[in-house]
Amino acid sequence: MIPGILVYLAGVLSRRLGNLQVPIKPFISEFAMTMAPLGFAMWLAHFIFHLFTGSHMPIPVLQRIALDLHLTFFGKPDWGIASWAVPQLLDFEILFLDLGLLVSLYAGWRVAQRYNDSKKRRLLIFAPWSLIYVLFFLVAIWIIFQPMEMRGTMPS
Amino acid sequence: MRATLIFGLMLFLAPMSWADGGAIQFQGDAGSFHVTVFTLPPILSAGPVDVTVLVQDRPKLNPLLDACVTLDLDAQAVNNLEKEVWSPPACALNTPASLAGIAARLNHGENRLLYGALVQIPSSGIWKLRINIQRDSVTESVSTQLKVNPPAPPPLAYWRLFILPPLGVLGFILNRIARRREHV
Repeated sequence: MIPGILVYLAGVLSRRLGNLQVPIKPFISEFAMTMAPLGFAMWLAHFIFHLFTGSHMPIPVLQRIALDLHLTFFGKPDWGIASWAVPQLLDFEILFLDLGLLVSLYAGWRVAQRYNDSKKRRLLIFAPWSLIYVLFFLVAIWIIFQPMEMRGTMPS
Repeated sequence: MRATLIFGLMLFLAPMSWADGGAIQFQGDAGSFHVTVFTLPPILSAGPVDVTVLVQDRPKLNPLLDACVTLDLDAQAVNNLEKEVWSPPACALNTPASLAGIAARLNHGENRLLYGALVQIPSSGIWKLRINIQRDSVTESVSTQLKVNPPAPPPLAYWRLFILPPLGVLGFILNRIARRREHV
């Protein structure tokens, strides 16, 4: 609910500051698309974590299946198998979010440019949206610093 | 109307959604029990760790839900036991008075088959986790070693990575100014 309300408020404020006479719904929809890079970056950061920490897990899973089928020559599953997880994973996650924020800011600027060519007005249209991007970025950073759950894998 | 309905449905379904879980730290037998220990996060760091235990009977591997499970945590080779670890904002919990006899309860998490407790590991190093299981008159224990990494440093330690967006914005502004000057 809160992100939706914030986006709506940003849309109202942006339209007012830019003195625009456009319907609010398409206006917000257009700017909402500019948040896609940030959203994608968050997805990628999360995905990378799971990909690396569970990189070798298919091996014990296949061993377990083989054992269930009485195929003992694959050996007992080693749930403590190594993974590609490195402490620097968090650095990469932050880097993805940085890039997502920059692309979102640029996309927002280009959309604001479409609505008004005057530099000052364009900046006023863009300002509330830039605050939203930064806010979402900070929330994303806060989230990736939380302990992340991952069932079915084991640390190396 | 349709969008409202979809949104309402999403809100309704959100609490039921299941995602991820824990990592297996130990699996083995203790007397008549088959025990599996999970931890969250999978790569352990000093600070709050969610420990959950699945207790099954050995012959049929049926989950046993009427046992009494406690956890003991003993330091084997640890660093800076006195120094308080940094925890992420949502996980800053009070350190428990004792690391012995921590009660692991059913319904601790979303999985109703697991006995669980949130354990605050005070520092990095090697810790021995002992799981005590009591059922009727039978008492069994199993132990496993946990390798606990140093706590994740506070977000401010990552300042070099947070500087990229301001630098990018500054570069964009400078580029615009330079291009305008070229046109003049």
